[in-house]
Amino acid sequence: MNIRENQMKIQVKGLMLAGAMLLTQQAEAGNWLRDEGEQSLAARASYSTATQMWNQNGTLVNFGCGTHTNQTLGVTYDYGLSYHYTLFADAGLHNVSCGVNQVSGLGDVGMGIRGRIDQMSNGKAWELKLLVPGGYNANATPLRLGYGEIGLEAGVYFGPPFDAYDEDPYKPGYFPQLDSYWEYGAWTRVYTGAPATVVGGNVKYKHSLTENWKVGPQLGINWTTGKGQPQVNNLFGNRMAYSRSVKLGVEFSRLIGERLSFHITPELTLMGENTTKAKAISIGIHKAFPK
Amino acid sequence: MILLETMGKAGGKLLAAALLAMGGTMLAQAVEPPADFPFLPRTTPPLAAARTIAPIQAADPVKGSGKQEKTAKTKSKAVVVRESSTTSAPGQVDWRLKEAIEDQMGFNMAANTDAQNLEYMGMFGQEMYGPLPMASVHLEMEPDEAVLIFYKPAHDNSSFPVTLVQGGEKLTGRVSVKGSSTRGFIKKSLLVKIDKTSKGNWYGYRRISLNSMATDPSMVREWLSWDLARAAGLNVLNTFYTRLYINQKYVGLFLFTEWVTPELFDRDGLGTDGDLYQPDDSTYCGDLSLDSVERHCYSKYSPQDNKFDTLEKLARGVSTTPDGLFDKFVDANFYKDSLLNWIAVNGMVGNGDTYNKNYFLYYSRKIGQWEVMPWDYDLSFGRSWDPYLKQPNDVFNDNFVYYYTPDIGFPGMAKIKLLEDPVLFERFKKRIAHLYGIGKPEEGRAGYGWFSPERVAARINSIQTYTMQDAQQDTFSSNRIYSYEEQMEAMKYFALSHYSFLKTTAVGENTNWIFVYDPNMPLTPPPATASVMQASWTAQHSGYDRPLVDRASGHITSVIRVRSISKPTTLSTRVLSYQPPAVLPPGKSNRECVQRTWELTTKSSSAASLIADVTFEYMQENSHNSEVRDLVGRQKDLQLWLREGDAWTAQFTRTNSLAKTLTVRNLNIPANRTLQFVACTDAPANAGAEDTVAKSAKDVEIKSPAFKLMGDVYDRLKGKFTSPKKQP
Repeated sequence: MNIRENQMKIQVKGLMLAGAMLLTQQAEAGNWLRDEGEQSLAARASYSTATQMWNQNGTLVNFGCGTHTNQTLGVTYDYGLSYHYTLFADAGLHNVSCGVNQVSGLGDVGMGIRGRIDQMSNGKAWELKLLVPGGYNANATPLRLGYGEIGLEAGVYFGPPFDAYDEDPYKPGYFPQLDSYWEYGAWTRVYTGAPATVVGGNVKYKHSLTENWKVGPQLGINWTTGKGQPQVNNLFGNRMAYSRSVKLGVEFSRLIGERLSFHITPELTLMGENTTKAKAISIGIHKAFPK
Repeated sequence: MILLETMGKAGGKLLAAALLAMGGTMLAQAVEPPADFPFLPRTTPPLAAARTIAPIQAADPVKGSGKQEKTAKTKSKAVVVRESSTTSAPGQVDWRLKEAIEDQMGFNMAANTDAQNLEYMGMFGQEMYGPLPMASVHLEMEPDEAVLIFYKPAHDNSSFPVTLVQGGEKLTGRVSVKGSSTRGFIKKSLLVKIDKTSKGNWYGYRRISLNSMATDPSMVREWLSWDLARAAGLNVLNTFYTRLYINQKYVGLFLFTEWVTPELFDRDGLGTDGDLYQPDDSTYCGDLSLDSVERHCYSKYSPQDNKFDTLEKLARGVSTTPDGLFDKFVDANFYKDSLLNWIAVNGMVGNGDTYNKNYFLYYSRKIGQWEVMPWDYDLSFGRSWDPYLKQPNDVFNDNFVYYYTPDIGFPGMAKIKLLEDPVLFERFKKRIAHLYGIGKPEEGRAGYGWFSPERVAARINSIQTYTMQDAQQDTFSSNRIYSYEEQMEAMKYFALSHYSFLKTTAVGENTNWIFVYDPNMPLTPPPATASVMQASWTAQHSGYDRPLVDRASGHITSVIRVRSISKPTTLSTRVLSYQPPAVLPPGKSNRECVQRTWELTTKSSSAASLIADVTFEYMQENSHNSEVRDLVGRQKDLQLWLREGDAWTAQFTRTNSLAKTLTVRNLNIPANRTLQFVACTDAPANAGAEDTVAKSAKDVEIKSPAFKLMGDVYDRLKGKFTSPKKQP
């Protein structure tokens, strides 16, 4: 394999793994149980850039194509079906490029149901989510979005409890009026085909700077339990159907209106396999609509 | 004198009868109530047609009393309707005689304790006399959801399916939590909506709105307030006590409150095509100023067209009508004096939680006028906002205040303008005096003396009789730190003291209360300072609760109930308030004693024997303005000490730490002596803070339906693969 081939391999690999990372989004507005008839809409714009990636051996290598970028416009919709269950869906438009190579389109679409772990709390939830390929195009291999396989995700999430005497937590837009609190969760995802089973988790600490500002670090882990199977008869045979990463960010969030909040989150990828060493920033907005 | 002595012997019945007759209320023939009384149909007053009631022939107290008794005996389960229309002649009432009786006898605050009937105001302004209207609602629902409805996150607005069982009929619907501040309590206010597909109703209603009264453990504040509002001539929602059963288990006593819709205003002939507004509960700015409309402080409920032009026009009128013309503006724009009556009622019940929220406004296109409808009276009757405490104790605390002026509450624009208008101000004071039965009745107006202390006490006593078991069996009664009896006593004491205060300082004869609005006045009450109050009264015979009121402050210095007396005796009470007692009982320190001293002096022409119940009050207006700052959690153990010469004697004291009253019963009071009292506690300093906060829900655990389903599946599988042991 000559140098050019190697560079090309790394280049394409970057595109593919970036696509894999677009499979799902963390619930933009937290994994809350909505009350019956309540709807919420969250939108997020994110941008990440990287010139290096960790390969399948965890070795940091340069992209041969130059700078790898990833732009996403994501949206999440929640609907309170009843006190016990909340339906949700998420989808995102992606634009991934590295040098002259570029791919864009609809990523995987997620649809799921959320239920209560603690019947007295709207902050502790389990989720089941079905992942449907949205932008997969086998003919476009290897320039594609997502794995192109149906996935099923199950997770548990824990947010702060609301004291009965707090200000109406729904009114500020799921912006708990607490001095500080933790949010954490874990999930696993299985696919019908080649991609490896993934386990992941995230933890956030939020501290109130003022009544309307919060800040806090967040840590996210995305780790496949194996390395999956060769998903496509690709050019490189490197069985790209897995990805591992550890990310650290800081979220600044602000209450900007009734049931309306936004956040801005710079984030770094600290380590991984088949993942970019990206610097990313995301801006999100969340609005809840009571019945 | 002979007359008064005769009256003294006749006791409270005579006084009650006199008050009834003088109040211009005409005892009438019994009218059979509708079968489903008190749940009168929503729009047609069925009793209006039956108002061909012959008035009694004379306002003879004795005859009136006899007839009343007879009626009560023979119709103990029926309801008597007393006509209160203008056909009576309240202007002819000998109100001076009534006041003379009150001065000599005091008020029988124990009236009607053993009676099964009470007087109350019907929803169409009929004076009723009969059993306390009481309904019951039977719901069936999933057992877990029957718990969740009370214990789920306070502000969750989810509903649960429910079946309303009424007789043999079953109506399906949904139940959800309603309200705002009461959501912080476990006993939630509920709304049951009957499904559109379900034919039928609950006494004419398809929305059953049940107020939990969780903020009011006495459970009479709202009932009494709505009753007074009706007596004042306000068209208000129908309310009555309702027992709630879920899955055949008693949950508690609630107050049914009719859902506010245009149809409700049409009871007053205002049509249903008008505009219905309410200040947004969360904005605290719906004060009828022009600014309040521009800042979107109101919600419009009907029609839901988001047009606020009529409200804007009203607010503009309120803001811009020149001084001197505001009375004409009010008369032209508000139907049946509803604005003035609303403010008067608020002032009487001490409701400060309004004027920027908690009311409805209805603009009738039919007559081109507005009607005000009050809303939410739970924070009344002595409730005191505490600026020094954090939520929720700023509102739900142990403070109790009797001495609010009638302008209590947020300085709303309409209220300020009304009270600043000399014509309306005089009318306002007369309206309050009329409803209290102070001075000359307003000509042609019903309800004279409806809210006098004795009549309020009689209602409270009767309600207590009816609801005692409810209070004991209420699922959530463990949240109460005071007994039901203490709660009721506090309400009655409020009725007496607030009446005395307003009579002495604001609406009685020779009072000079002036309303002055200072926009820069801080919301926080000024710090209390040491003061001296005194009052005197000559007791001539045994009687009831006679308040001795300091004329300068309007505060009660003592309440004397003469049990027996041999010769007329002048009793004087002197109170040194907000100052530590100069002398304390042995072994007591200032931190163990109320910062108040009472002196009781007797004077009579010669040696006389006097036995009386003596009640003293102390102040706890807020955490700072309090005479018991060092006695948090220890007031229940307060005991009065009596000093005669250098000797101190502990008195057997009936302490009501909610009402802030201390009573010594059957006190033998020597003639021509001065007795000094202080109140101290024996409780240890760490006796614990009194806590009115609802318990946490963390101890309640209910499995997720999904987990439960998985558990069921597991159990079935387990059962399937585990073969039962065979019998040997």
